[in-house]
Amino acid sequence: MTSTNTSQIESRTQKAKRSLRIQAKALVEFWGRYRKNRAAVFGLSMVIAFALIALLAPLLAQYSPFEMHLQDFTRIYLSPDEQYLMGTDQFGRDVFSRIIWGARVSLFVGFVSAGISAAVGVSLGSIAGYYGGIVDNAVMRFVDMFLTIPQFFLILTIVAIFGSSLWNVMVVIGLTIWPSTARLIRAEFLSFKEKEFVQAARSVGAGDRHLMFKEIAPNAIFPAVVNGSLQVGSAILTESALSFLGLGDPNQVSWGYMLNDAMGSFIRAWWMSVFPGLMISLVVISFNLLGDGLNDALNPYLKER
Amino acid sequence: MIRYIIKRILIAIPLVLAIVCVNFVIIHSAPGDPVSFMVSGGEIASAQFIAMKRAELGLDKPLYAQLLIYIGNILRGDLGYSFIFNRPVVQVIAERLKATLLLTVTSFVVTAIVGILAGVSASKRPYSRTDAAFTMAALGVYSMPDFWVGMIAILIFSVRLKITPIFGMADVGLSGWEYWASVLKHLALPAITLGLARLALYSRLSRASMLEVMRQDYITTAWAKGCDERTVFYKHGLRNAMLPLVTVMGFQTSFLFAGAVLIETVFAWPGIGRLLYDSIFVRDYLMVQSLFLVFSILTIAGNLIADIAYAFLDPRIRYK
Repeated sequence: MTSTNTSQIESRTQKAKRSLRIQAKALVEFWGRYRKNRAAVFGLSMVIAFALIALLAPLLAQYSPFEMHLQDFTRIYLSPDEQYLMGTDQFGRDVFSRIIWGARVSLFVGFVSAGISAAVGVSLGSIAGYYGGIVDNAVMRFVDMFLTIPQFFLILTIVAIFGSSLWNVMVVIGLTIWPSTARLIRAEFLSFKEKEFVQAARSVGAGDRHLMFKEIAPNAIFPAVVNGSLQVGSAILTESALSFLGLGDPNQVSWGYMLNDAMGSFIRAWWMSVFPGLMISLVVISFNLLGDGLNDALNPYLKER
Repeated sequence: MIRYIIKRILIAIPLVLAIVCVNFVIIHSAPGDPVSFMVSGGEIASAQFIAMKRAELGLDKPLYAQLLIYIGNILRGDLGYSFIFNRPVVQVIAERLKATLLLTVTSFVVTAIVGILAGVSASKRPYSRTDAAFTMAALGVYSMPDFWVGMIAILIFSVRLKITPIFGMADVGLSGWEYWASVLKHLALPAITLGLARLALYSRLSRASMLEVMRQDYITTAWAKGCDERTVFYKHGLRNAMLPLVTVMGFQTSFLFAGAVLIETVFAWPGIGRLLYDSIFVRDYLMVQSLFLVFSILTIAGNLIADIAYAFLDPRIRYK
């Protein structure tokens, strides 16, 4: 009795080990494909670098990003030098320190918005694709209707009227950009649910939940991963545009908000506009390159055509 | 063809209605009641006025009746009265609409023509080194915030090189030809920066679309017939490659207007985009929400025009 139990446990650990080995091997293969794309590797390293900057902001920034020095005329509108690497703004704040703290807000908005969008998009898309019929029709008609409303203006109007706290901005962006994810996932579920391995699992009595989560989802999730990476970039761009129009959270340091600050004075202080915009562009390019790289590496058959 | 166009127009009507309903929902879920929403930002309105406005909007009636009143008002072109501008909202918007249309249409025409020509010429020598460089440049341009590109363009072309004016739409006190020459000078930089992202997109898309089309059998036939390169590329190739492009251009309408808001803000272009920025600044919520409605309708109109253009380009629809 005990011996069968132990052997069962042993076989289970062996099984777990084997599946771990398979996963590790898949990961190595994936990395092998990914690293062939030099632009994608650049994108990934930039994303990691930005994440580190955001995490280590208190250590990297020399000055407070908020503290103003309005009385001290020797500290406003200073052009870049050794002490203030990127100069100072009209309130005497160090632009470099604000740039570093701004990485936090940008990445935070990007990931949370893309996360909300992925959660909504993947659940609605998979339900529509898996069940088909009336459910599918209802979800997709809703998506079609939703897509006719211009996204940027919807986000802008809601944030303008309901308040522009950071959470509001992130939630509204996330709840507005999910339709593309839903469409992609729906298409994947539609095609995978007819595949032999899913039919085989169904014929041995697997339920809906097992089929959706264990059989289809692991295969169908890749387009959502790629789209998610691109959505991080577009959410960052949207946040910066909102902040630029004065709809940012005034209690946060945001690159878009810095550009709003710069609007009145960037002609005499070029550094106030050049650096924040450069950072936004770099982050967005990095996530776009990452998304492209993931797409190529996750779809090996597409590439080898 | 006529039937196709009429059908498209009929489809657009429920879309506009849906957007009107979304607006209604936004107004009614906003903090405070719709009347306080309407007088937001202005001086404190008299109690008498508020009572009058309440009765006018039928706030004591059930919600569906309020919605009907709201739709009725919009159909009559009554978007309310702005207490900030001290004028009816419709008047303020109508006055500024021309400037926005001038900016967006100019930008669209230039980017469409230049983008397509660049894409076609790139498709003649795909996978070359220049082609790869262009792909990277397009990705870079596409990732930049257009309002920042506008600021940098001002720094380079207006401040450093002094070839373009910085702000506004025209110099004051001009008329006739001189006025339009001045407008053109003011228009160049904002129109180009507004178009840059779409220029990248259209040139890449038309390249991809051309590569796809040039593989088709009828292109081989055209070469075999002895057509010269021009005829093959533009008459046989481009006309077919245009079809998916027109669809994307339709989808891009909403991004074109979103970009216009940002670009008008940077260049102080006196259109409804800059009006939106100013309204946000002074918290004129009624104006913000009305502009949402106007931009949504403009977007639907843009999609409609793309649909009709598609019908003209595709004989399969034209002769139906």
